[in-house]
Amino acid sequence: MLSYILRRLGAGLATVLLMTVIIFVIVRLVGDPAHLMLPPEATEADRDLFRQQLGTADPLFTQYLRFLGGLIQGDLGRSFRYGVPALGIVLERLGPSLYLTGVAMAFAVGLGVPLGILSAVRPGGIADQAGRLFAVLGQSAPPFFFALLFIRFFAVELHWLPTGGYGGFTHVLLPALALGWYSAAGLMRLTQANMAEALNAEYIKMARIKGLPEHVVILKHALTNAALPVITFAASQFGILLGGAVSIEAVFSWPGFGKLIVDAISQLDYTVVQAAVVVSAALFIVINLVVDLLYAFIDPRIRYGR
Amino acid sequence: MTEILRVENLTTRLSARDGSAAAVDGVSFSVHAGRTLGLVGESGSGKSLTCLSILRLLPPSLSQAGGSVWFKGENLFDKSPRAMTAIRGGQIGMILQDPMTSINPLFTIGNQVGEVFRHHRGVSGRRNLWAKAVETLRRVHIPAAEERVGSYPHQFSGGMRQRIAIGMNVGCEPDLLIADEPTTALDVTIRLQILSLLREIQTARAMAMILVTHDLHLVSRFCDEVAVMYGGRIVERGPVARIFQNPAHPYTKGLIGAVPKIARHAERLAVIPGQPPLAGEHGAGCRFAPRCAKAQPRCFAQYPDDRRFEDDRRAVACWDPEGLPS
Repeated sequence: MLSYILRRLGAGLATVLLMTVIIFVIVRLVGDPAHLMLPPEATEADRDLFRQQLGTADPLFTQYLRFLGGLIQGDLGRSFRYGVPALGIVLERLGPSLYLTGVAMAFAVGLGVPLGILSAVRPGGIADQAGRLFAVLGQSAPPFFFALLFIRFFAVELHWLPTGGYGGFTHVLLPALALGWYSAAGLMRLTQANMAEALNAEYIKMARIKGLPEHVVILKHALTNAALPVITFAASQFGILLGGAVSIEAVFSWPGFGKLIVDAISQLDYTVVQAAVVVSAALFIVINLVVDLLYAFIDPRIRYGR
Repeated sequence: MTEILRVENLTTRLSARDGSAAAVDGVSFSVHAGRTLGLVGESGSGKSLTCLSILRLLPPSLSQAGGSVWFKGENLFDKSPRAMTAIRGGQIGMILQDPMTSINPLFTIGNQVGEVFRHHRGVSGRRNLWAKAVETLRRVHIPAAEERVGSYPHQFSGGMRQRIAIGMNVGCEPDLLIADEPTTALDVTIRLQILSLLREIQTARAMAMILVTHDLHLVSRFCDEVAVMYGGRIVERGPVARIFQNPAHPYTKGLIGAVPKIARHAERLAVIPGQPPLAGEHGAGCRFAPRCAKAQPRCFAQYPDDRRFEDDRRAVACWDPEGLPS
């Protein structure tokens, strides 16, 4: 088991390195910060000087080696714009992003999975009908639409919750609901489909023949078998929401990761973009590893097949 | 000889948008302690549905339309859902056809055998459940049961899995075991072992058994009584020896005639021409009439009543049964 984890971490490291190469090249294709950051009346000599200060005047390969050297020491360079370490800027935004995404996913899993189970157990029942409506709403409207709706209703009309800004639970509630709704809808549908399939299996018939109470049949025998795709989807949603919550972060002025990346790209702040990519790639790898370990924990055929 | 189960006029309907059709239509039989009833018929004749009806585990598309199931003197159709849960697995066990799919792949066999004791016998604690599971696995002759109890279903062969499934269903010493084609999915060499295991368990505690099968050879070797189903009805029932010697219903006769015999080098295999009817797609008369060589007009007009003979030990539903002392 340990050798498997180590092997996976090694492969993950290789993935991160590959990602850095790609992003290193791509970000330099977008534009030259010397043009963007210096005033238009600056001379070509001024720009060269600026490039030398940033380090972008060197050949691409030299720049990359320097970047790798720093990476090993945990130094991802200084932000072109703010002059402070890029990694610090990224990590500062990561906390609020993890907080927002965590609450959003808790809401999505806590609502989507039980609704999915209920609607699979009683097709056409109240949970099925309500869940269907909920899923259609969640999957057809963009998150920022709900965000504006929520602000209007819960913050402006009712004064229950703040309209935006970073803070405690009252602050995170509305952005998390708006952000998690889409995932909740997806989780509900996926849980329903997989539960319906599992409930048709012969071992479910056998569980009932054995005289097990219905809640054991559903929660132990069916749900465990339906869990794997649901876990995969939840994990991928977590990763997507972490960096993809730009519109929600903008609407609620939440100091998140997604907005940082968009700003850094538009400002051609190479080092911040690179740092953000390294951090999010590492996060993805950890999430995937956790999912794979969960798979092996749930399904003995995966555990012993290795 | 104690009567364990008596099924009376059992009717199960298939509900569809355009009305409903009887998939099991007025089936009656009884099973006694220590004895085995063979339930024989082609696919779709209603054998499995009859068994699921007894346990009240019909799929949602089917519903119980009538009749009664007397188990040790009490009508199961009057029982609360909770009482039925206690009876299933506790007093009535059932084995399914394919042991590759009938055991949950994600839990150890110790867990799945043990959980029966948790819910029926109130055994608690992992260690006690484990001990019960080991004991049960030994009883169904799983080699090295103490070591294998923590293994998962995919680590066992089909024959071993069927033994485990039998263990799950006889662990609580039921009075009745329903075996729905328990050997159909297994290798021929394994079949006899599973059957002798079933017989061993049956003899040890005088358990009543229903063996669902389409294998007449199996019935002749293993069962005491036989009930032949066709189109959702029982067309003939009685002691195995008598029926094989002297079948009264033309369908039974055809079935027995269709069993190939190695000793006889027939040029063609004997067959019953035609196809069995689907539920609801038959007339008011005998369901076998369209395939029956002896069919007369009244066979198509009206379903024949059961005729009892040989001191009520046999019954046949035919207007013109063969070899009856009339």
